[in-house]
Amino acid sequence: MTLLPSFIMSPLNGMNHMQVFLTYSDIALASGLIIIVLLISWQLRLKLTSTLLMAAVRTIVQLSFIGLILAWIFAREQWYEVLLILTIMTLIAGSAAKNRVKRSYKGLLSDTLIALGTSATLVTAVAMIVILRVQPWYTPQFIIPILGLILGNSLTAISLTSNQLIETFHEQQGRIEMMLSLSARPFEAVHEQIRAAITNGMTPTLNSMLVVGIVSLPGMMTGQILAGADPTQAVRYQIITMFLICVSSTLGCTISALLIYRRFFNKNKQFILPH
Amino acid sequence: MSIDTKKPLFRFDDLWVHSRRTVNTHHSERHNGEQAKGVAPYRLYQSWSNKRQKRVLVKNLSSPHQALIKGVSGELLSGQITVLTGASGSGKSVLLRVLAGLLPMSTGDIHLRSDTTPHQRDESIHATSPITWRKQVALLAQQPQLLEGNVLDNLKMPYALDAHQTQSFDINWHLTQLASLNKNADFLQQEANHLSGGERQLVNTLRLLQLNPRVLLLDEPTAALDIDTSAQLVSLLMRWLQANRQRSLLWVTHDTKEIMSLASRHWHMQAGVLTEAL
Repeated sequence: MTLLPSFIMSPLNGMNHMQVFLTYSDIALASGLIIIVLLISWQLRLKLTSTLLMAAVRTIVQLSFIGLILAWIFAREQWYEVLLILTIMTLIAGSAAKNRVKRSYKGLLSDTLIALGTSATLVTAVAMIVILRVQPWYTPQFIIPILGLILGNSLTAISLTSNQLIETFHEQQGRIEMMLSLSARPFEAVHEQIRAAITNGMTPTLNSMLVVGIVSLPGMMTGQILAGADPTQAVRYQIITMFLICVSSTLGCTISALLIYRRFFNKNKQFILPH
Repeated sequence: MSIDTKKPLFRFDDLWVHSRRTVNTHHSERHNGEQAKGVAPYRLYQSWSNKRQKRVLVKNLSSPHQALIKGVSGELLSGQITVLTGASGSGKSVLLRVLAGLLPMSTGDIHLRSDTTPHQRDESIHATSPITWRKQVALLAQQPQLLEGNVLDNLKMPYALDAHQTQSFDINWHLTQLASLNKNADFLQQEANHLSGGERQLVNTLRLLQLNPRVLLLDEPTAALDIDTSAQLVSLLMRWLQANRQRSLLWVTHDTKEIMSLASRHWHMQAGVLTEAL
């Protein structure tokens, strides 16, 4: 086991910060803490031994694997290579968001991809070009983690909105037809349902913003501080990131709701259930 | 200017409505097929293959075009009540929703007599914007749908819609109607979710009548009401009909006793076919 403290220049503000380089021995030492958990499980007969061991092994294997992938990704230098990776990330996220919706319909995947892709692309572009002013804009070390954060949070928000909106449309057909019979336009007939669905989709993001820094420290900020970043810089990064996530989630939920509700009306403004 | 009252106010010709009966195979119910065995990639392939076969089988079994309404035709005359009876599932509600422009028809046409000059052509549903059509042909559903808020909020709600921006809410008209229903102005402040079923239907009806449709389609409006409330509702609708001779009612009911004496015509629907009852 070797601890290699190293005093290096921080790339963020030129100040000296201590960084700790970890080795496999350090990981083995941390894994030893799992023995404590195993002892508790054995003593209290929790029957969690095999599950704990499997979870610990999978943590090491999966994260090591993703570390190799990230190292390869961050070594890309051409804009089209980075763009391809970003596109794959967006497609996977869109597919994941669509699969979380219980009542699917033909066209839901494209609606989800448009909502997620548009919101994430716009916000990421603003972040890279206007706010962070990274040169070049496609620097993988910045754009991939930022897009990943935005996609991860937006897909949850969009899937919550989509789920609630579609379920509500199925459950409240009578109410929607009542509004149509009073000569409401389609958007007027379902405005309340759209409002409730978008609010529902935004709730996790808003809750997170309300308690950040009080209940818990966000992971990104913690990671930056551990890596030797100046805490004030880490806080600023976190604030910016949370605003980006908020805007992207709002945009994504709104676009998703507007695309979905249109599927439930035909050209004669009659309420239908898409298959 | 005189209107030819012999000419039907409302006419529908050779209406056909089909339903598309398909199982929603995209719902994420667990597939109850055999559990796949073998390594993970093969299990994934087998699961996909089973789902695909299930979709093909279901599509082949379902009949995609079941006729709900079969070539029905009819006309409503001004100032008259037409009663429509029929067993459950015979297509009465479907017909009403098609006439109101809320459900698509497969073929056929519906005409509403123009109320400007007698020489103008009738308005066809296919040539009229859906919003304009629904302002003139209104459906009162069996189950009243009230929004959150009090009675007054519900009555005022339609005037917040674009289609009724040029009209004004007339509280005096409502007070007059409520007085004839033995209710005073305090009724307007009652919360909608505290109303009885009968009161909800009365509010639902007033909310629709204030918009002055020319044809009112009633889908069993008194089905869930007690005798007294039912009588009040019938009285309200009769007063509304008699206030303007250029109106007509099509009344779907199971209980013909309360309305047959007031009706001019009686239709009967069975298995999607409409006939004139004797």
